[in-house]
Amino acid sequence: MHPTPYLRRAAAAALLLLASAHGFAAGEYVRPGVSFALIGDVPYGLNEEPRFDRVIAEVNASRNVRFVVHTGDVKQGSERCDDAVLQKRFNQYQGFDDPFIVTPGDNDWTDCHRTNNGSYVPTERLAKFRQIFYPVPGQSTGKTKARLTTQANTPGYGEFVENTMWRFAGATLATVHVVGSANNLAPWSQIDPTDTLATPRADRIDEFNRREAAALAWIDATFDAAQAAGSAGVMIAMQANPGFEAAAGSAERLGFDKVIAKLAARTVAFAKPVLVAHGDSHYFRIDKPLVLPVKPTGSAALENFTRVENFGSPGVHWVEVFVDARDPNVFSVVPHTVAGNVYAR
Amino acid sequence: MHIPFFPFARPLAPKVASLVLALAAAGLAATFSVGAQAAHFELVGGSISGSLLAQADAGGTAPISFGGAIDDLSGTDTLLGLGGGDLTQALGAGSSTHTWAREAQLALQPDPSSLSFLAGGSTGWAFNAPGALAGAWESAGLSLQGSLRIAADGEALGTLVRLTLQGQATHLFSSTLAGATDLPSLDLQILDADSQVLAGWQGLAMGGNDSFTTQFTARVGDVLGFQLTSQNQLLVEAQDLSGLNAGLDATTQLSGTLAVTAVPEPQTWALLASGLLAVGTLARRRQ
Repeated sequence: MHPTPYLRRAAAAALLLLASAHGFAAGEYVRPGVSFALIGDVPYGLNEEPRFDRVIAEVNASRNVRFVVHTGDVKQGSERCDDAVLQKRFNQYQGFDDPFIVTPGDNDWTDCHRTNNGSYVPTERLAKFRQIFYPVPGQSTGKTKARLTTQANTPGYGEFVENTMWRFAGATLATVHVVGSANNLAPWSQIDPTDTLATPRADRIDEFNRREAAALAWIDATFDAAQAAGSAGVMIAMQANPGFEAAAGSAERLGFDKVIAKLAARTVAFAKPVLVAHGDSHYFRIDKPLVLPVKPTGSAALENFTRVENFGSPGVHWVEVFVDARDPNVFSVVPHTVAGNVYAR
Repeated sequence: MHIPFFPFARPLAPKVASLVLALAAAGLAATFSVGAQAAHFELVGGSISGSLLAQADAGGTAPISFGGAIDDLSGTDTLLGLGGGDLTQALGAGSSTHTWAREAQLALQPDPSSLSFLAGGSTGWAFNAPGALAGAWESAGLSLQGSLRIAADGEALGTLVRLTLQGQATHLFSSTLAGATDLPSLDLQILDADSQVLAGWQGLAMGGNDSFTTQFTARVGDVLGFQLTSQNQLLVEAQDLSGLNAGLDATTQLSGTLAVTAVPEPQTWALLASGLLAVGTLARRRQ
C-alpha cells in the first residue's frame, strides 16, 4: 500500500518545517589569509609517488597557497641517485600549479656515495641536482614561475644557485643549503674507506667549508634584506635538522654549530618573529627549540625563534604556513592530513 | 486488488465535512503563518575592531609602510565600525596613492524582530611611474563581536522560535598590474551560550559572489553570540613600471539579515495533521 499524494505532500511540508535546529551553509571550511605549502622528505620510492600526487592535488585546490617550499630529500636514502631518478622526481614536482622552490637534502647528493645509491662521488651528484632542479637561476620551477633572488648572483658565490630569497606578504623568506649527514662532514666511506672523521677527504672538507661560508653569508643577507625592507618576519628553509636542542660542540651538532650560532645572533638582533623550516627527521613539529643564556643568569628558549618541521615519508601529507604581517606571530602553521594517504590501522 | 485508504470510514454528512475543512484550514493557516512575530532582538553588547597595514617597495629605496585602525562607533541599537584613509606618497621615481575604507555593522531594524548586518570595504591603489616596483602588499581585517538576546513579545521564556539567516557576498577586483591578487575571507557565525555554532557561512573566492539562507531554532530568552570577520590580503608582484601608471581596485561586501519568527506549537501541528487527514479522507471519498 502506498501513501496517497495528499499524505506525501503533507509529510513533505511537515519535514520542511521541522528543519534542523542548526543551519550551516554548505561548503568546505575557509581559512583566511595567504600561505605557502611546506613539504619535504617525499616522495620516497615508487610506492609513494601516487600518494604524493594526492598532495599535489590538494595543494593545487587550496585557495590560500601561493607557492610550495620543499626542504629537500626528493628521494629515499637507499634509492639510487641516478639522473633518471632525480629527473623523474623533478618532473612530478612540476605538477604544482604554484611556484615550486626546493633546497637540496643529504639524500639528494651527500649520501650518494652509498653502494645502494650507485657509489657516486657526492659533489658530482650535487652538480647534477643543481642542473636539474635550478634550470633558470633566480627563477622557481612549477607551472607558475616566480622571480627569486639567488646567491649565485653574488660575487664569490656563483655556484650556490639553490640559496634563494624572496618577499611574501610582508615577510622575507629564504632557502639556505644546509643538509643532514652532518652537513657533509659525514665521511664518504662507501666510495673511499680512507675518508674518516679523523682523516677527511680534502675535496669533501673543501665543499663543506665553501658551502658553510655561503650559508652564513646568505643568512646575513636575508636578515639584512628583511631589516632594509621593514619585514615583519623572516622564514629560512633548510633541509637539516641541525640539533637545536643539543649542546654546542656536541656530536649531534657536528657541521651545524656555526649555522645555529648565526641564526641565534641574527634572530636576537632582529627582534621579530623568525621561523626556521626544515625536514630531515620526518617528524612534524612546531616548537621553540633554541635555548640561550639570559641576563643576569640562567637560560631560556629564544622567544621569537620558532621551528617547524614538515611531514616526511612514510607520512605523505603537507604543512600550510600562513603569513600575515598584521599577526604578531607573522607565521601560523596548519598541518594537513591527506585523506587518501591515511594508513589503515 | 483495491485496498481502501480509509476502509472503515462512513460517508460524512455535509456539516461534518464543512467542519473538517474548517479545521484543516485553521491548522494550515496557523502552521504556515510562521512570519508572525513571536519575539524580538535586543542588542546586549558588542564591539568592533580591526586594522589595515600596507607596504610598497620601489627597490633601491626604503619601502613605504602605512596603515590605520577601525574606529568603534557603536551605540545602543547598533554596532558600527569604520576606518579609512587616502594617502599619496613618493615611491621611487613616482608615487603611490592608496585609498581604503572598511566598515562593519550590526543594527536592529525598525521592526526589532529583524536585524541587518554588513561587513567589507574597498581598496584603490595606484602606482604612478615608480620605476621598478619591487612589490606591494596590504593586509586588512575587522572583527565584529555582538551579543543578542531573544526577548519575548508575550511569549513565555523558553518558547521555541525560528531564526532565519540570509545574506549575500560579493568580491570585485580589477587591476592593470601584473600578478596582483586579493584574497577575501568572510566568516559569519551565530553561537549559543555554550559557544556552539548554531549557524554560519564562510567565503569568498576572488571575484566571486555567493548568497545563503539558513534556518535554525533557539528559545525566547536565549543570548546568542554574533561573530563576523572580514579579512583580505592583497599582493602585487615585482614588476617594471618605468614610465607607466597602473593600479587596482578591490571591493568586498557581505550583507544580510537575521530574523526571528514563531515556531508552531504542538497543538497547532496536531490541528494541521487532523486537518490534512480529513482533507485526504474527503478527497478519497469523492473519487
